[in-house]
Amino acid sequence: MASTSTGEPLLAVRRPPRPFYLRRRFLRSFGPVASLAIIGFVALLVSGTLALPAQRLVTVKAKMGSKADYFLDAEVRDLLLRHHLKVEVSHVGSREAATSDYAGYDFLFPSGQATAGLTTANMDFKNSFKPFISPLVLATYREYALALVEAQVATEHPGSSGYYYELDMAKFVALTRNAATWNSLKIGKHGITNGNVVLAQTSEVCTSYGSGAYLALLSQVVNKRNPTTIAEAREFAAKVKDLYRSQGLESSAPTENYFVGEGRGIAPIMVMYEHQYLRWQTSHVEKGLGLDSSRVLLYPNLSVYTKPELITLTDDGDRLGHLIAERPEFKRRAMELGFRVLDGKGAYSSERLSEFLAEKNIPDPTTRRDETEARPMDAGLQEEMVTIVGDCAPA
Amino acid sequence: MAVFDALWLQVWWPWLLVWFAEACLVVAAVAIGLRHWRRARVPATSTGHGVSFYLDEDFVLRLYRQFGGKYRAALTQEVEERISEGDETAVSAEVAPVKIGRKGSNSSEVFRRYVEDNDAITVIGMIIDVLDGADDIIYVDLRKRDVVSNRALAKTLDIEDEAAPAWVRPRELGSFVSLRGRFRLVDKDADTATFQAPLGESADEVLVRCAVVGLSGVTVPSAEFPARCLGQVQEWNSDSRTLTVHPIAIFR
Repeated sequence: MASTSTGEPLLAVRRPPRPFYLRRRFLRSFGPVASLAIIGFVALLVSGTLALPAQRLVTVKAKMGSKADYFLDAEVRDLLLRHHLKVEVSHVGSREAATSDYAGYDFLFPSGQATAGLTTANMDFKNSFKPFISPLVLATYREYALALVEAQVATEHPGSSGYYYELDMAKFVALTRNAATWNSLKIGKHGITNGNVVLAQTSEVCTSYGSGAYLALLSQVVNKRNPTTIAEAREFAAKVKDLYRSQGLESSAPTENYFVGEGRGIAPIMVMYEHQYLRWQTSHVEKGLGLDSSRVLLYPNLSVYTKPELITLTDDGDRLGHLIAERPEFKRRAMELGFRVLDGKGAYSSERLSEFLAEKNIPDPTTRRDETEARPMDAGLQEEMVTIVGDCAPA
Repeated sequence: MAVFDALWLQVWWPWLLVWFAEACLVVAAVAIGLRHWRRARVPATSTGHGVSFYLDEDFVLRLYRQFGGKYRAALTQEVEERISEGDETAVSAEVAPVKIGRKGSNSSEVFRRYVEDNDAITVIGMIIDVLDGADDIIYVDLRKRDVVSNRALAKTLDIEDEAAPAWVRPRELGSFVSLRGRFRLVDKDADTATFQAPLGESADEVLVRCAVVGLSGVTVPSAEFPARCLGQVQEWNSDSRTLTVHPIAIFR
């Protein structure tokens, strides 16, 4: 026992107990929980989900025509939800979207440059984006394409395995003008009889951009050039009106008519966009049905590229515009839906679409060479022609 | 709110799960921390669940008035806080709490009444909190014959906190000591009750002499009992091998 020389006892000096937060018992239970909590916190911080339960879902309202296909796609919808955005689409024709009342909407997405020009000329807008393009095509069935080839009106694209053809528009318009029928082109050789005049069906010209673009193409073929004045636009419109109207009633749902089984009899040639056809083939392949060999495309020898323009009217619309035009995941999905995606500078590169189509064993339509692009018509003059040909109410 | 949208939930549910798991982890970490903090905090001032055995009220009042006013402000604040926390029995109605501390005589009166009106264990708790806050209590375990190295010991020995020696003599323990041990009543007359506690396994013992008036209403156990004594070391008697400590409070 420790004691001093005087016999006084000594007390041992004991280190104070370690603070509770350094004790093993505390660290054993607190350590794993705190480590997981820190990892979780960092993960939430990095992913921007720290305030996730309080997140606001912004509903963005839009008007558009055929480009609604993009926003109605389930994957695009999910991608937008990842950015806490939800798009409510009013599905109208592009021309209608551009000319009707847009109050209460966050953005418009007319299919082409002409309607977009009409839109931007008529209102205050925040921004405009051109995320992708798609050529105007004449979708048909293999038998009709072969009949046109035999009549030397169409030629097969090299390496397209009989899925894509170039259509000589001057010869094609001549067939319509001369009231040539499919039977007169000996379509019967391919197991079909059709006494109707050879022509292309369009959607309603008063509402749809594609129809207006096809009208402009017809005018260019017939008149050899675009009008330069309102008076000339009226004159050219009068010249093509009968030709255009010879299709009879315009279809209000051209895509649906083309992709149903009875389409062959309803409208053998339908004016639409390349992306709609490529999406159809992609879905067909993804469903395990292989390529749909009965449906093929005719590309006018004067190419018409529609450049859908996303015109934003509000801050929320603007945020969405930046996402669609700039984020890789949205561009990738647009490509998977058959669009030809533009880069940040508005340039088009076909490589990625070609790779994607090759993966799906879908013939690549982008290999076409020596394209001659139809001269774009002034938006105001095209609008004038559309109004006259379609007897549309003025915008 | 996005969480009410079914489509949004279909996309975000994995991250919502992560978020709620994270919230649970944070709550669990805080709960574990609090539990251990409370456990660690209890032994230092284990008055919360204690039972008062002896309290020298006169010494408590001296503590307030003397020591150069060293403890006056802290004790006044403690009383103020306890009264404002709604301790109805803390002080009689004629001394309004709002006046506490404004005038020396008035606050002194409030303190006196607080000490008189409250349970001894409440007063002991307050005294220990104040003395501990001033680093003036040295903790001694009589059974183990050891003393905890803390700032109070360093102050007493006039050394740096980390430079505590391996051994220390009981007489060197100035300031106040908190002695934990097994006490037994060895003598009692009209004025004084004497308790004794062994110092480890040796024959050395600690003597604690209490004023009988401070034991009023308490049944003193006849057998040995574990207790803690807050007091001041007085002297070492090498003949009787006893260390005399003046008690301020004894509690179990």
